[in-house]
Amino acid sequence: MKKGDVYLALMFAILALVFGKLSLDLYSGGRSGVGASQWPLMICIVILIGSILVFINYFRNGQASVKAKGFLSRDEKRVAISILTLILYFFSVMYVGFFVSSLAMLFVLITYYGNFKWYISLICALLIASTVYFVFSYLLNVSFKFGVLF
Amino acid sequence: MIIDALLLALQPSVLLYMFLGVAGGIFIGCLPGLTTTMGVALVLPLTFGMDATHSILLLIGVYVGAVYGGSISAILLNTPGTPASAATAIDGHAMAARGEAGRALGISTISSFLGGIISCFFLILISPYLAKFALKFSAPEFFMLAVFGLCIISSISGRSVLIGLLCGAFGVLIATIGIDDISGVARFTFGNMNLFSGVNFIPVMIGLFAMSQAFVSVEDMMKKQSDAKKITQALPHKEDWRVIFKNSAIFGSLGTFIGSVPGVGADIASFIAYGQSKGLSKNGDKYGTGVPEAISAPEAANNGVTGGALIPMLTLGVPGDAVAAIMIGALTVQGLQPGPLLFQNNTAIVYAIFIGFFVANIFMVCIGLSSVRLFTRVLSVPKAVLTPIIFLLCFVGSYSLANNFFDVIVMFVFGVFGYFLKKIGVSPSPIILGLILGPMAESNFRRALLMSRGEYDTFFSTGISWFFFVLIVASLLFPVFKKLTKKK
Repeated sequence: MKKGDVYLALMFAILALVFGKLSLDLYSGGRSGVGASQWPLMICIVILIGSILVFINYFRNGQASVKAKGFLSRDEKRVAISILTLILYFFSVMYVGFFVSSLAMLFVLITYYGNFKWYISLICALLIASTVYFVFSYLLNVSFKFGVLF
Repeated sequence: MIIDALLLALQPSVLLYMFLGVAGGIFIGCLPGLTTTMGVALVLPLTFGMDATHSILLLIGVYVGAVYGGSISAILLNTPGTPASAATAIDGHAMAARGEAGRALGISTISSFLGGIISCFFLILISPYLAKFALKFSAPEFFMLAVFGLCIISSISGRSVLIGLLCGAFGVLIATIGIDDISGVARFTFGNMNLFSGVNFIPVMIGLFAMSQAFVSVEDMMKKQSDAKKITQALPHKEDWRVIFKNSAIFGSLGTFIGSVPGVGADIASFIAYGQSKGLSKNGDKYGTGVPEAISAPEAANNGVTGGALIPMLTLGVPGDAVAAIMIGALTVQGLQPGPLLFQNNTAIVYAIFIGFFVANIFMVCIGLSSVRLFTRVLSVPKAVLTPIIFLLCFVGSYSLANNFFDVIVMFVFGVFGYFLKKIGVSPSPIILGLILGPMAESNFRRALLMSRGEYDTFFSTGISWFFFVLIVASLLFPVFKKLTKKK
């Protein structure tokens, strides 16, 4: 068992406790016992038992040696920056518009990830955003009516 | 009669429509978030002005193409285009990552074709018998089928079965969110209107497979990219053919049977096939590393479903899945009523559908194999460009499902969660399996108990239930037995 497994089991156990508590407040179904609460309650119990087994395995077999390392490696920092960029992108889509935001997101990320000249990144971003916009908006009738622009 | 059917199905304009349908279906299937059902639904309005043969065969072309197309993005980008390809992504992408993308696509294409052809034979030969058998399924049998499907978690868990089971149970729990179908009670919605209809598994799937994979690509951005020029193999290897034929025969038939059971789709069939092929294969312990059996089995099964779903639709007027329901709509618009009378009054059209289905599969394999080299070019696109494209497709794919921004948020949350799972070496597949099978298991478990007034022996009251029970026990014990005999 890895340390990550224990974190995962802990997260699942907390979730099972919350959902289990909420399940108790649901209609239980009377005598036949098949109301809205039984099934999620059963699953929560399974998750709790499973999580406890993960904890037991982890502590019984001895913790896997995990080398202490810094908060985030250089590669992981790149992922964190990407996640932040995407969150900004989602907000931007809502308030600015799909095409403009997608163009900006693609340009920023392509420039950040690759060592292309700025105009190559811009051309790539423009081509990709236009193709996706055309295929989904015109051919597949997906509505991208967001924000003040388009 | 057969001559009439041949004349109907092999008209040049019908063949052209079918060809375009298959090509369009492959394109739609490739795009994450656009499901097979959505593809067929998008084409449906175009068929209103056509006659019955053109209309239904165009839709069948889209159906066959889209089910196959999902595997292309699953193999090349670890982004299943449709839920039916989620099982293919596990080993297909692993093989592509080894530089054998052409081989993986070749295996997938041939297996899909053979699965489709096998289901076509079943469709022609035994459709009335199979449909009658499938209609004997009621709540206890559906529940046992769902449990049988959930047993596959042990096969797709990766390094820890316990963690896999936890992930599967998490998927089942997430599936309980929303308005309860039976009592109408809102469960775990926290007052959020978007959660009333539950958590759609497609944005979850896009997040767990595609978004998380894109984050991994970002992390590996500085590593040397595999050279796309090395991809010379556009067909399966010599030794793969035996595996493909064997798996296609077994899992194409299994897919046909599963497809003929109303309400059970290609996604469930492909996971069941993946799990069972692992049990049967000599390379069971290598599953997840890119073995041919693990690509061939789910692909044969999901294309087997296409023919299977048509069986109850044509013979009884009962749709096997959502796509078949749309096709029933298309036939009704044409003034045809699917069911026993269709065979009696419009025999030529029924046989034209059989022939058209066969031809659509031939188009699929031709387009698939001729485009393998083109598809593999995707891998030569620099990661710095490809990764932002995947981000954009993840956004558009999850949004276009219902034009709802909430689905994008769900996709993103599960994308970050999937990345965390990948960091600790946990497979996200059991979560998807739990999400897909959870609602089926729960609703049928409760319906069965309601019908039997809480008597649990209802789950063992019929031969079909016992059949599935034996399969469940066998699928759980077979890997243990295999391990023990290997040790000896």
